[in-house]
Parts: sequence; C-alpha cells; structure tokens
Amino acid sequence: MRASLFTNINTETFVAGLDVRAKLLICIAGSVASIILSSPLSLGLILGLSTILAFGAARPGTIMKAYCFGLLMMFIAMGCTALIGLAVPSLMRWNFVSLTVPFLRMLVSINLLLMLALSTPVQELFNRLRMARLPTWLQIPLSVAIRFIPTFLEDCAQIRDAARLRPSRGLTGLWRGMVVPLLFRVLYSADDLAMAAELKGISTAGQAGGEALPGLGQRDFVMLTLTVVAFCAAIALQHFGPRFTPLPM
Amino acid sequence: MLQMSSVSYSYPHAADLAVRDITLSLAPGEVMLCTGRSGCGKSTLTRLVNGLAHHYLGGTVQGQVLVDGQDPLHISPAELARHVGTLFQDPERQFFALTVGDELALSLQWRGWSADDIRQSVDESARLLGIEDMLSHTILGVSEGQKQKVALASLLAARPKLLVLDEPTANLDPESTAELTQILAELKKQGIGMFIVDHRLHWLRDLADSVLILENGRIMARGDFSMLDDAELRVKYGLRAATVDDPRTTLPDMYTKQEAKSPDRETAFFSCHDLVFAYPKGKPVFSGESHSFNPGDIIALIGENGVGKTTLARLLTGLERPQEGSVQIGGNAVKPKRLSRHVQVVLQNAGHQLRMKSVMSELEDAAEGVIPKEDHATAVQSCMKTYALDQLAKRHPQSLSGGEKQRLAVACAAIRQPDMLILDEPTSGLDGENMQRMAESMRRVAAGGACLLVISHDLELIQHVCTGKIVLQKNTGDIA
Repeated sequence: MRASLFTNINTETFVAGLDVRAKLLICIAGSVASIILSSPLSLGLILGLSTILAFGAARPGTIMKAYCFGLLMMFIAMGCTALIGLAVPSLMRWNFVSLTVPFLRMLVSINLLLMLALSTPVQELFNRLRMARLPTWLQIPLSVAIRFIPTFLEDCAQIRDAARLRPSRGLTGLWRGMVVPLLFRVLYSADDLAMAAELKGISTAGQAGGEALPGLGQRDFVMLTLTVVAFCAAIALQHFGPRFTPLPM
Repeated sequence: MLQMSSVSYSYPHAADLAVRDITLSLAPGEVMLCTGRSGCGKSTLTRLVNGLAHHYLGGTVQGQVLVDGQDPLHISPAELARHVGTLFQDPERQFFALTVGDELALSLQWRGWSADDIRQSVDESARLLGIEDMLSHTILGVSEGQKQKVALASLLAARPKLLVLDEPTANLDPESTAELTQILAELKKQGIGMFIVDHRLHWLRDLADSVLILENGRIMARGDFSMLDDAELRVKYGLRAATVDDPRTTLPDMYTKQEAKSPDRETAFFSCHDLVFAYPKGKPVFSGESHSFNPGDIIALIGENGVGKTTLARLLTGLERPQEGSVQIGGNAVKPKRLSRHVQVVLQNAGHQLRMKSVMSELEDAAEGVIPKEDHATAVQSCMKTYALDQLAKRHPQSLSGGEKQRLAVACAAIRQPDMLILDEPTSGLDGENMQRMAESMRRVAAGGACLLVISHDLELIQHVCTGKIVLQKNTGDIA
C-alpha cells in the first residue's frame, strides 16, 4: 500500500525543503494570479516562475508527461472550437490572445500542483494540518481526505484489476465495473470511519492538545516574499505593460 | 467490569430485535468469547458495550448495560472510550494518521491530553506491544500483524479497563495470531477484561475463560472453552473447529522446480516457467519461478507477508507481465493479456467484483462472451442452484452478507469456466457453516476441471480443502 501519492520524493531539493504551508500559500497565490490575470505577458511571467518551482522538485519525466497531457487537452479544445466555428462562423473569432491565455493558465496550475505533489509527502501535509489548529469541522474532513487518498487509490487499483479480469462492454459497462463497486466501498469505509472516529473521541476534538505548530523558516519567508513581488509585478505588467492586439488566425 | 441485565436491542426501522434478553457479567482480567453464525447478533453486542448502538446507530435499548460502572446510554461513546477500547476486524479502517506514533497519539490529542502525558502514554503502550522502534514508520507499510498491534497500542494508550475485540485474527497469519494471543494473555494478567467476538475459535483455547454462543440474538449456550469440543454443538450453531492442526507441515509439496521442468510437466495443464519479475526500481521478487498444476488440484499458496504470493497470482492472471519466462496452458505459452480468458480471481473483498443490480444479472454478465447467448438462462439457473444462490436471485449483490458475496464471486468465476481459479483469503470473516459452503464451492469448481490456487492464512480451510501446497520462501521466491 502506498504511503504517499508520489513515491521517491527527492527530499534534497530546495522546494522539498520549504514548509508545506509556504507551498500551499504559493499555490493559492499562483491560482489567484492565473484567474485574475489576462495578459499573456503577465501570465508568461507567472508561468516562468512556476516552471522553475515545478522543475525544482526534480521530477522532469513526470512534469513532461503532464505537459504532454496539457498539450493534448489544448489541441482537443482547439479542435472542438474549430468544429463549432465551422458550424457557426460568426460565433467564433480565432485570435492569439484568446487561444494562449487559457493554455497559460492551465500550465500555471499544472506547475503549481506538481510542485506541491512532487515535493510533499502526504504525512507532512497531514501533520501541518493537524498542528495548525484549524477548526474541527475543517481539520478533520481535510485530514481524513488526505489520510484516505492512498487507501482510495489502492481500492481503485483492486477494482480496476477485477474489471480487467471480467471486461466490461461500452461506457455503461465501465460505469458499472468501476464506479458501482467503488461507490459501495466508499460508503462502507465512511461508515467504518465514522464509528472509529466516534470511538476515538472525535466529539471532544475541539479541545485538542498535542504538538505546537513550528514557525516558518527563513527560506519560507524568502520564497513568500518573492511570491508577493512576482504577483505584484505580474499585475503591474498587466496594467502598465504592452497591450496585445488580438491577431486574427 | 461489564454487566448486562436482560438487555434487548432493535435497530431503527427493524421489525425484529437484534439481540434479546442478554444477561452476562465479565470480571476484571476475564476473557469472554462470543461466537455464533454470521448475523446472530455478536457485533450488536459489541456496539451495546461501546455505546455505538444507542448513540450512533439509534434504535431502542431495553434492560441495563454497565461498563466499569458507567451506563453507555447516559455518556457519549467518546467518554465511554476512556473505559472501553474497541478493536475492529480490519485495523486499517480505523486508522486516522499516517505514522504509527501519530496514530497512537491522535485519540489522546482529541481528548485534550497534554503533550507530556501523550508522549508518556504513547511510549508505554508502544513498549508493551513491542513496537517502540516503529513509531516513525508509515502505518500503511507495516504488516497485518503489526497493524493489529498498532491498533491495540492506540487503544491501550488511553488506558481502558475493558477491550472489545471484533474478529481480531481474521487477517492474521498463524504466527501473528500466536503473537497476538501472547499479548492478550499479558493484558489479561494486568487485569484488563476482554470481550472477544470471533468465528475462529482454536486460538482462544488457552485464553478464553468463558464462552457464549448466540443464535438469532439469544444466548443459546454458555460455559467454558471445553464446551466447544462438542462436535454436535458446533454443527448445530454453525461454528468452526475448536482445534486445528497446522496443515502446512502435513500437506504434500507440489512439484519442485526440477520436476516442473521435466518433460511431462512441460506440457502440464497449467504451468509457469522460469518467471523472472521485479517491480520498477524494486528488488527481484522472482528469479526463475516454475510451477505446474493439474485439473482438480486445490493448492495452498503459503509464505510470509511480502514473499510474493500476490505477485505470483498477478503474474498467473496476466495482471503483471514477467520480465522473463512464460505462463503455459497445455504446453503452449499464453500472452499475459489473453490470460484473463483462462484465469479468474476471487478477491478477499468480493464486493470489488460485483457490479450489477441483482445476483441473477451478475451471473448473466459473467457468462457474457463465454457461453452462447441462447444458453445463458439455463447456465445461470443451473449455476444459481449449484451455489445455493437461487433464493437470492433478485437481491442486489452489494446487499449480501460477506459469505454470500464470496459465494457469488466464486459462482461468477465458475460460470466463465476458467482453467485456473485463484482465491485470495476467501474465508476471512466467515462462520463455520459458510466456510464449509465455500469449501464445497471450491471442490465443485475443481471437480469441473479447473485447478485452484488458494492464498489463505485460514488453517482450517487449508486443512479441509487443499490437496497440496506451494511454499514461497522470502527473498528468493523459490519453492521449498
């Protein structure tokens, strides 16, 4: 059974050395930036920085696979857009900006997600959430969700194997073969888990004691400062930088 | 420690009582075994003791329950858990943390213990269970026996006076079971009372002070362990054997590596030859594994955890591709992706394999592509009859009991007429009657011309049904 989403995490890298809270804040900042920014230049800046962070986790193979997936998604989107454009030409106007911006946003998200996933053991994420003294209603569901990711993946693998040994036909078969057993498994697990939680004293969890949350390190503050600077620079670039005139394609 | 006086309980919306008129008393340091057929009310009794029946599941309780002087009706399960610790059948389903140390500390943190008290209690319980070196280990990477120890240690960290154990050995190999027995004997000496619910009886012979047999929610018999030596009584209440000899030493070995390579075995009914396999970036699991099987063979695949039993099963089913070597049927090598036509598997959690709306449609779906369409109805009817599923034909497969699900999974595999059927812990959690039924089902598939490979820790099943064994040795994967 897996103990983390990605095995063989390289703990020697700079990114792996960052506190998980700093990484989460960087992810949030990057996600907000990719939503509010619409200039290719600003998004390009964020993309460049997020790419450095993603490759800082030292798993270029996985990152390249994710990029290929992103490219595939982009081509599918372009294909669908072209089809709609053929049917209703007045509806679709192709231009450089409208094609590039969603793609850049997607790449930023992929980079940040990979940076977090490739450099953070699940246990560390779990510990920080627990120590952060979040409200019980938020902390427990989050912790349980994280704790059960490996178990869920294991269940998925077993159900996939069972489906491979008795192949299903068509989409309905796939639905039945994968989703139905998984749904029941999740329901049973939820019931077991709720009972276990009750017996472990979850209803008294509001008064939780235990370890104190350690402070952020120097490198965390440096990275967070750089994130804020990059965020502001990207916004400034959007407002004061060169404007892109949509190029017809 | 534990007292029940004329206790009856019914689940919400249920017409019948789940348990009725239960009176019992458990002293400190006493071990009480509660057994009976599946669905007889054993689990309900445990839920009455730990307070879940009333507070979590709802329902109506009559009579009085006292746990260490506390009435579970009037205090929450969380409060009651300070007096009684509950160990589930599958400990992994009750873990909330990812490392052993965190799991031991978690419930204490939730209860507001100070950091110093938590550390002290975690250290003490870890020492007691001999897992003090494992506190930083990931909880998902330890063996089943160690998981059971971790779960027990996390209960003991809260210093309960009573333990409720629900089928604690269902997933354990015989060695881990023996180790658990020793630990429980030590806890018994320390004055901790234990209420153990289990189908497997033999391991409790020297531990249990008293035995209750339940049927339809009533106590039908009570006495000391020697009561279970009565074979008639065991048959009457669908119980398992009270004594099990270890068949692993007496079962004949299957063909050795050299024999498997001999000319007559080269063209065996089902065989694998010189399998070499390693997981990516892992050590080699097998480096030249060869076995051969005949129709009608029911072979126990035995070995310690991590020795490669599941990997061998995956190679034989084509779910993994060997780096070298081949799987052959009648002397002809079969490509891994084509093996699923010849090999079927019954998983420990049979629910993973059941996906249709009714038992009948599950069998019809299984027959697809194997049996001509016009013969489906006859084949399905015949199969339901053979496996005693006709009464359940319209039931949703996921609503069946554990034993019924296992039987349906075997029937689905059998209707596909496999050359090889692999069963992974097929009797985990089954009572004596259902274990016998499973054994009959297995013999029936074997009599139909298939060979069976059984991965199981259940000595009773192995003794009952297996005709031979393959012992995998650690690190080498060689046949003994």
